[in-house]
Amino acid sequence: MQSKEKKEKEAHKFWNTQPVPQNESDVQEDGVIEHKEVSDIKQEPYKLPSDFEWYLVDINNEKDRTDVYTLLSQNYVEDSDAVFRFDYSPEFLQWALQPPGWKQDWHLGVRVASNKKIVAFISGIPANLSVHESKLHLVEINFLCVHKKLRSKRLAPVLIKEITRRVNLTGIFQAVYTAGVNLPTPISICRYFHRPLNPKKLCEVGFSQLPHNTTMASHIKKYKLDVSFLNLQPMQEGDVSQVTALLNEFLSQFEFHQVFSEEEVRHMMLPIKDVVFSYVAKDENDNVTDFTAFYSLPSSIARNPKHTHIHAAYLFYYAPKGLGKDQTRSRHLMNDTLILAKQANFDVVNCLGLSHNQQFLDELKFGKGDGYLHYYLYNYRCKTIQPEQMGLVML
Amino acid sequence: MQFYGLYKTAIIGKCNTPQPGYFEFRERAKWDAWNKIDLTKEQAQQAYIDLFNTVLAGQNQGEIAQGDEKLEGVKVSVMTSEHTTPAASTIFDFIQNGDIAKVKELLPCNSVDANGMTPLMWAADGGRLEIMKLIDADLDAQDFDGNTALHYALLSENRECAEYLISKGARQDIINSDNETALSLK
Repeated sequence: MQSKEKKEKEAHKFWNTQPVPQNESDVQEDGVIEHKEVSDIKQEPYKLPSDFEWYLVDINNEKDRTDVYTLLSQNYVEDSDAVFRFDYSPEFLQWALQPPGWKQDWHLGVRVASNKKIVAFISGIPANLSVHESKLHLVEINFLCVHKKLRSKRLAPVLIKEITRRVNLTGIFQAVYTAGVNLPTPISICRYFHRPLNPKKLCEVGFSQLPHNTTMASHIKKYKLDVSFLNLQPMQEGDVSQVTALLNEFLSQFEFHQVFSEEEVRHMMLPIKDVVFSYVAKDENDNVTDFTAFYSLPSSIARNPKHTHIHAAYLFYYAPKGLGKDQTRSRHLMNDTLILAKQANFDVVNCLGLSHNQQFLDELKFGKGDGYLHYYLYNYRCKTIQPEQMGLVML
Repeated sequence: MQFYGLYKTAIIGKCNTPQPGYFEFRERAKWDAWNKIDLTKEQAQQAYIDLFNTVLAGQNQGEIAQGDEKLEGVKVSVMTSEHTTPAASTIFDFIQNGDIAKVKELLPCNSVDANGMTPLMWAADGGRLEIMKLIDADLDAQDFDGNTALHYALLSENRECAEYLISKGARQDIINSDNETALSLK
């Protein structure tokens, strides 16, 4: 317990030194916390403990990509019992880390100086957000990971400070990030929801439980999907401009949302095999009326004789005809999204209880998860956002 | 600490560990916070969210300053069970849990459950081939929905159990209330 207590204290001590609200009473109105200029930012990297060195990962190089993949697949986010661990594929990382405006300078690794093994990683990608009407050009910080054996070295704070410095040098002073844990100070907490597509397997691996006195036969039947409503087709290059307009219009309803350029939609939303799946419905004039997308994020399963992975599809962005005012349409769009995920052999569709998702969660038999995702902003005060006002999905 | 108590209850359920010693102040305080929450898992999950939203709404600002407990654990989310599971007591429970020793004690058994299901059907549904082999009963009995053990083996995708039943001579042409023969479910 000693070391856990120490760890908590240190984590708190670190966030006390950072431009983040320390508690809710710090946030009376939205705005920047620390005003800085590029000329204020030091030119030299932060010092690492001896034996370690900074290393800029080349995600387009197969060896680097494999090394980062290996680090994450063995040391990244787990469930509370350390049975399931996120297993982002190398191709996924290559896609996720290179949206328009990406910089290799923000794909930051730490290597052991002697054997050049990558033992820690953090990344940033540029994004535009609208926060209570204010436009923020910032970075999304993601994939912070330190090798399990080095957790006592206090590398995470140095990684955060160093990527902040690198981002600051480009004139960007805000960031958005998420965590399963509670740090100072969340702007929103969104619950995870799960919709079984392969209910038997989910029971076999302990992801869900067969309710007492329920047969597997009826459990399987409960989650069968048959009727589809919209004629969804894979999104294509020619749909980019219409999807961008539709998606931005849908998202603009929320207090906190991402704003997409066409280039970003082209990169983030066009289908990539086994990475991102996206579909559109069109009217008789060939205009896009609905859009939906999910991404593939398997979790590896420890100590299971029969299964090695849960194949999870995470609901990404979507925009229904009627922008949510026609709730039946929203449910139909999501019903068909589930069918497409099932056809692509996913075991479960996961999503957060944000934006308009409450419109379909119960009806489409999503179940509550035990996880909560906390959203944070760095160097920006923001009054609390209710989950149904959140329009940002990070990978 | 209110967060901590709700959090533990939301994740684990009601306090289920012994009270720490008097001088383990920190652990004792955590335990007390957990122990005083008299809610089900499900209620605690909602209460956790509600408390958070209350605190954020600024009505309870002192609380979060004390709530410096770093919440650990939940990261990859898994499904919470919406139902509580009572302790196993019937042969059907023991079959569902795969508790072979208990099942052996209770065999032979001619009873059916509230839906007319026989032990053999439960074993076929749960993929409990070993238990099926212990049961000497009518292979073609039907429950109130008209399903046989073979229907259950196929509906719940337990191939081996279905093959076993067929090898023992189970009929494949019996129709259930959805007008399905076992054969049609293959």
